[in-house]
Amino acid sequence: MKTMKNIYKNSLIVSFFITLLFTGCSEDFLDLNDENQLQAETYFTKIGNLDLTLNSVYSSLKSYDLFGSEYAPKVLEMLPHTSNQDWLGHIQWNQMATNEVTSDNEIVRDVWRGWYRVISRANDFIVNAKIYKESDFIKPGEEETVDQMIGQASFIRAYANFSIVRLWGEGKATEPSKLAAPLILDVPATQEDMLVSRATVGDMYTQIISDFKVAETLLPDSWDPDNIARVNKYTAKGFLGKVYLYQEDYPKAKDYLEEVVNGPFQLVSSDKYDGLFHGESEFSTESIWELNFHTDLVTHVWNGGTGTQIALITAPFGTGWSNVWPHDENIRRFGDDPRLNVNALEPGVAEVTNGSGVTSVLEKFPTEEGGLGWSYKKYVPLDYSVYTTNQNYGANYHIMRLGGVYLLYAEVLNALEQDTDALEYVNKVRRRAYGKDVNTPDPEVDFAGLTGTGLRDTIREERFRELFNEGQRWFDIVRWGIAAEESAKYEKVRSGTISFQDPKDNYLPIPREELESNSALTPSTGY
Amino acid sequence: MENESIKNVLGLIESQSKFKFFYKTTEIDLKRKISLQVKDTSIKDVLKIIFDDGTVTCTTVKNQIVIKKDLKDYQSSLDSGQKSVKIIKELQQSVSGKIIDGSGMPIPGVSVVVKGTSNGVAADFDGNYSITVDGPESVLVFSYIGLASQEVAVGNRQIIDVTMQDDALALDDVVVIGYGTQKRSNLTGAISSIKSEDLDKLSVTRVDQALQGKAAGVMVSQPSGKPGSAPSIHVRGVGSIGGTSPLWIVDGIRMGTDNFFNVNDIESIEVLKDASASAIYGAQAAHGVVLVTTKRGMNNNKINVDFKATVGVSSPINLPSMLDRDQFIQVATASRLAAGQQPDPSWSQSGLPNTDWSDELFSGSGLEQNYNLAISSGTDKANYYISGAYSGEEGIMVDNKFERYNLRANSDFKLFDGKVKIGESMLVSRTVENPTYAASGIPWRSIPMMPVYDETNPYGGWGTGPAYYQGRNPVGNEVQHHAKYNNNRFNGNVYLEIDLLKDLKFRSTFGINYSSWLGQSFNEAYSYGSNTNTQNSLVYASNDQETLTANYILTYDKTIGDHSFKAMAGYEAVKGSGIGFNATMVDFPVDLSYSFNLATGAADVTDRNTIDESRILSQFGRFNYSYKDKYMLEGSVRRDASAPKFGKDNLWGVFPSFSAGWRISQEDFLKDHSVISNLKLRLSSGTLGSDNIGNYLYSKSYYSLRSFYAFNEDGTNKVPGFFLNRFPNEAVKWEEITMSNVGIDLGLFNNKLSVVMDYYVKKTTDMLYAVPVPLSTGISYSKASPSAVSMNVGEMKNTGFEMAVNYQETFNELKFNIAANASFMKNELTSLIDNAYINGGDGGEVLGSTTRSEEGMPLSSFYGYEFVKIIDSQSELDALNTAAPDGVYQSNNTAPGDMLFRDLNGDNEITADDKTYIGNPWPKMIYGLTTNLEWRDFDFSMFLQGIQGVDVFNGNKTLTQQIYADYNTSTEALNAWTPTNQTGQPRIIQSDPNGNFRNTSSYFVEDGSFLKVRNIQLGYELPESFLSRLKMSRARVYISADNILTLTKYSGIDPEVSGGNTGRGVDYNSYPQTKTISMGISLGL
Repeated sequence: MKTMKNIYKNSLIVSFFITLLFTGCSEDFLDLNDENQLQAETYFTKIGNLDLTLNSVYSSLKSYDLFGSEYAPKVLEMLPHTSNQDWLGHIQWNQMATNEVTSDNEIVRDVWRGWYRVISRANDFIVNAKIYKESDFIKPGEEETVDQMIGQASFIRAYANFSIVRLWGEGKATEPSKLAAPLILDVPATQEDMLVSRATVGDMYTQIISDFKVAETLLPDSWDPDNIARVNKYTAKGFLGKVYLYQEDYPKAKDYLEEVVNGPFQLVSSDKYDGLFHGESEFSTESIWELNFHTDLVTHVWNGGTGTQIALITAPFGTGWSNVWPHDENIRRFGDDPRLNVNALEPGVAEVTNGSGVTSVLEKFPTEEGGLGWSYKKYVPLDYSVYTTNQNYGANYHIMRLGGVYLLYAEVLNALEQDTDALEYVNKVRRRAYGKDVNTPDPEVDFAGLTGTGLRDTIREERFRELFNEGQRWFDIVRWGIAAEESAKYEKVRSGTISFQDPKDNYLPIPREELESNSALTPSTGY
Repeated sequence: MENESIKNVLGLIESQSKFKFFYKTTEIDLKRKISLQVKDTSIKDVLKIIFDDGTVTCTTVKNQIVIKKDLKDYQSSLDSGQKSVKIIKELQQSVSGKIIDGSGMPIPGVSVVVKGTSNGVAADFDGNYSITVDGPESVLVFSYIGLASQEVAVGNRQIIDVTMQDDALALDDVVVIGYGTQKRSNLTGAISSIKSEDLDKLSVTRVDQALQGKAAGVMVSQPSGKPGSAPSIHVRGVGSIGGTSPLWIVDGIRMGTDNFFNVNDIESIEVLKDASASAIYGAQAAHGVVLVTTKRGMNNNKINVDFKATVGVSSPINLPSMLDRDQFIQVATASRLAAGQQPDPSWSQSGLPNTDWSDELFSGSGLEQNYNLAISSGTDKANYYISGAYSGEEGIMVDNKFERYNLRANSDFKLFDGKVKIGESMLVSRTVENPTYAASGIPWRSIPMMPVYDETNPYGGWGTGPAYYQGRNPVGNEVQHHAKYNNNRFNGNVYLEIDLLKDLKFRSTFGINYSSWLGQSFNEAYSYGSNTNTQNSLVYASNDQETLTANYILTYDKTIGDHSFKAMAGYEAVKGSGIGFNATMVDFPVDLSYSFNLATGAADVTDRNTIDESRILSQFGRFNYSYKDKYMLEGSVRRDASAPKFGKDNLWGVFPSFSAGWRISQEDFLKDHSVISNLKLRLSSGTLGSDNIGNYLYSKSYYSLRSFYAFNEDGTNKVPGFFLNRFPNEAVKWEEITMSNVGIDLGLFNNKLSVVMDYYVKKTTDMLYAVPVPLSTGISYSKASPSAVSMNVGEMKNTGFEMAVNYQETFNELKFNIAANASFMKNELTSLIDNAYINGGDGGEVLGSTTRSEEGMPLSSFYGYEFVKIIDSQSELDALNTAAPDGVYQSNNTAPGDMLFRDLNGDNEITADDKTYIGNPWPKMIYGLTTNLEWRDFDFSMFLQGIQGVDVFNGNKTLTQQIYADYNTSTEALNAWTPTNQTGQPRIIQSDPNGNFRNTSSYFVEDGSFLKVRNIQLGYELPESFLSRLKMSRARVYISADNILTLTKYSGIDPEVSGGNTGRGVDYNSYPQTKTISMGISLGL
């Protein structure tokens, strides 16, 4: 019996020992940290982590919502009727094509979300980088690097706000009292902080200029090849010039654009022109800012891969979905301008490589009377099918290039009544397009003797030809105030009659989903 | 010696030798006279002469001689001279007998236990038992599930035959409850039990499926016939907008049963439904607790071998009939022309293939095989149960298979006269799955003009579609993705139980659940026309999960006179950890490889790895008091901490419950009532918790999900970007459910008819609702909206009534039993902040969201327009448009043949304001009915299950009744409205200008009530005479039919659908349900 009692006792002791061993002190036992993520409290304590955060700011520009897929082909090229549609099953997209967007349009929602994602990441970076700069964590010699990072984030925030104000602002940059969208500069800490009301167009432009100027001050003139995709001082200057042009503050616009025009850039030669849009001359002498894409055979765009799906949507039959194609009206509008063949593929003539090998491009809707049926060429691969590359394409997307800056500069000069100089910059762009020497006047292709509004309209048409399908057209026709008359030129798209209502259709509605969760907002006028 | 009494003879021997005799005066006839003359004879031989009648045996131990009545077994021990301990035992008395039922048939497996001891045996196949007892004062307890237990005093009898009577209520059944057991008669909570015999008759391979229709108040929906796929379970209605899975406890340790468990190993399943039964599981008990108890060896000194095999074939119950080539071209052409679009030029070609993808894709064999072998045995010192099983199911879809291997070992060892018990329950399992690859379902998208095979396709010879078409070759797609999921598990526990004092017991259990999952998937390069990937790839994903549990429980059990007390106190700690990992490599120079070593392309780790850690720490106690087994009171409380669910301030939660029972039938005025044999009233109330929310919602962190950029010139140097991932809510706390229950247990006619009824009210408070944050806050990854912040804001109410009825009767050789249950329930979302609502219920790519959860309505109600009729004439339409303020009643291009929606607000036009609630996906009633018949050697059982008063959203109609994009459709499309054939089905027009199929409307809402014949089984027990020659004790052959018939008005493929709690009841593109015919044999040695 004695042994048995001992065993009882021992087993009890053993069990309680196991208890202690297993559970330890209860507070420690329950104290867990999320090991899959970096904890906010200790995150911004070294410059390497700042760098990682800045990467996410750039990354947000190529999200699926923005340049990774939706933004250009479903918004920027639909609203101004660059594209006509093949795929009609997507009512939201049809709304874009006919200028009949409603506040529950999911594409509008996605793009809104995409831009505010950029804003949020930039804000978080800027706030924390500034704290880091003042903290004990900063090491000697890091200050300049941190400043350069702040410059980049400020630039991207300004670019995002510039995009937002142009998309949702109820007036042009010259109408500062009109309502735009929430102007957010901080990371919300409470539920109340999240409810931000709409700022005016003027307030937004003030902030945009301020951020671009911070960038201009802090950014270096250029980057080494390993960092070449970052924005630099000239990118900021180029955008400052553009913003002042939007505000019609021509002297300031001229100053900034001039710095770029006279900066270390030149137009690529005409034999390389086409390659600008097919990943052949990336970060060329013409590039002010381009988004760095690289065909990602493993990671899909929606998983953050390094490619873009624009080509999947726009590439011709057999090499992509071919959901959209240049509106026939645009093909006619190019006339015999050689840039037509940079931008579009002529059915039965142009060739592409797809699953069946090299083949001539099929005509879109051959049975439609008078239809031309061209397909897109710009930003579309010609020697393989997007289906074979994990549905993405790696050609860089130009946000600002010298060709466009020349035309902005010409526009400014025209406004300042310096028409001769203005004409020269238009002609530089034309000469390259026609395979001529950029700086040698050539009566064969040069415009001559144009002045005033005549020149103005020529510059506008030249912008159409030079920057076709580069995401510029919608903003241009809105700031020129000609969106309604431009839309009228196209009459209809395949999903229906275009019905442009002025002024409501000059801006997008604040998405319903945002209105429902943000009680500080008022709906867009007319929606 | 002449004519001396045996008593004197023995006395003489004692006096003349060194021997002493031991005997029982009751056993040996001491008065018998004998004459004896011996000299120099061994004592052994002397005794042989004395007891020459053979009725007595003698055992010698040293100088002691034990004289006992003869039992053959002991003869051998006499010869071998075993040790004293054993022999003292042999002083005990042996009792044997036969156990029969009311009709005189032997009952195998009845448990025979000496009362107050752990000494017990089970009757053999012929109902025979034999047990050794301490003496005449011993009492034997005979018990068997479904039969009334009997206690019989042994006295001097050696043969005790017993006739057991049916006891429908099984009042003295021991029911497994949280951290203990309780007699059913003393239960105060609401618990449904399912026993192994019930499970035997079901052809289910998953434990959760076994609950379907068997337990009142438990709703199980199996929306898919995919092998190994999981049903959804709701105990007593939907308790929350979030996760509402019940907590699973196997042999006292929390662990799932999922698709890896062997149903044959189960002894019983208990579903704890009300707060008093489940509150002992506190923070995780809010949505019910399911206790699974596995089989253990019986103390019957015999090795039981059971073998069971079934083979069956499954086939789809219902597949849609797809348009063939000519029909497709005809309908698609009309669809395009109606919209002013041209038909595709390729449609006019001749000799196009004509493939029926429904047939091609669902051409799997559906072969099902199950084999189970169990060996068990036990003595009063140790018992074991060991089983091995294999189960294999071939899907009805090509290249789709699920296999399971199981091995179980359960044993118990009793040491120190049973005062210390140790034992274990162990399960080793492996599941191997060849999953379906794409979104499984009907191959709507693939048009008939795509051939299955095309030898010219360099990528595997699969058929390709035309360039304009984006769909895949569904068969090639399945076959070219070589996926294999392998999951090895080790689940089990060891326990130590010590009787510290007579009434005080200590039990400690240590449990482990280990699961190691490995997914391999090699994707061949493919080309299905417009859908092509020329690069093959290999994906490895692994996930290892481990949960350790330790609990320590003290139980005190004391009866003083009429007062019984029971107290339990416990402590439990759970530690979970897991690591997941995922990697992909591309471009293999071979057709198929599972080795990264062969890859020539890039490696990628998109999802990288995840580390999961979780902890639960709990203290709990329960107190029971009963007076004369007539009045019962129970109280329990549990205090829980769950990390990493809640921040420091809300880490702990306390969950109390109280209940009371009154056995009215024990009162004098009812005690010997001729009709009412049992009547009990039960009342309970308590609070339960739920921590079914995401981890770390209270903390702020940075993450790099789907965030990359490259800064170098050629864009190859991909670097990750970290961003703020979520808004923290430090105030997040437990969701609580308060439940009150009133129950009545009624037994009539000697419990032949029993009825259990319960009414409950269940209120959920502090429901965690992910409140959407403005999109402008921006914190999210690519293609995602900012994560909503989980806040305790919502409230919900569920009320219900459940009833289970059991009736059994015997007419001569016919025995039958009917068990029926029905549950009625009602759900209402009683509060959600700021008029918020939750949209859900994905109606597929055409339709989007179909449900809305809003204050005052049942959760996940269908929300949309009221469909009035199909507009039949232009004049009808013109009248509507004329009255409309802007001249358009519905849509710009609405025409005859389109749907007419109801203008609810009377403004003469259809706007979003005309949407309303158009259906409730939660049934008003669920029910199940089981009938068992036995006649001679035949047995027959039938199991019906159904739901009533439920709406189903037939989302498939958006694809089956129109040409969407270039998708194929079903032959239903041939019945569309045309001017000459004005049916009730919308016209077909490409791009659907009226939004017939784009708008959620009551057109799609149908009555989803159904009654399914889940199982019919006919069995035959082979006769004993035949079996004895085969040295078998039992053999049964049977034929079984599952899901053989569905009675429903639903027009879709199957009305049994499920879905998330805020998106319930949408039938869209699911893997078809199956019916199965199988044959089986069950053998016992």
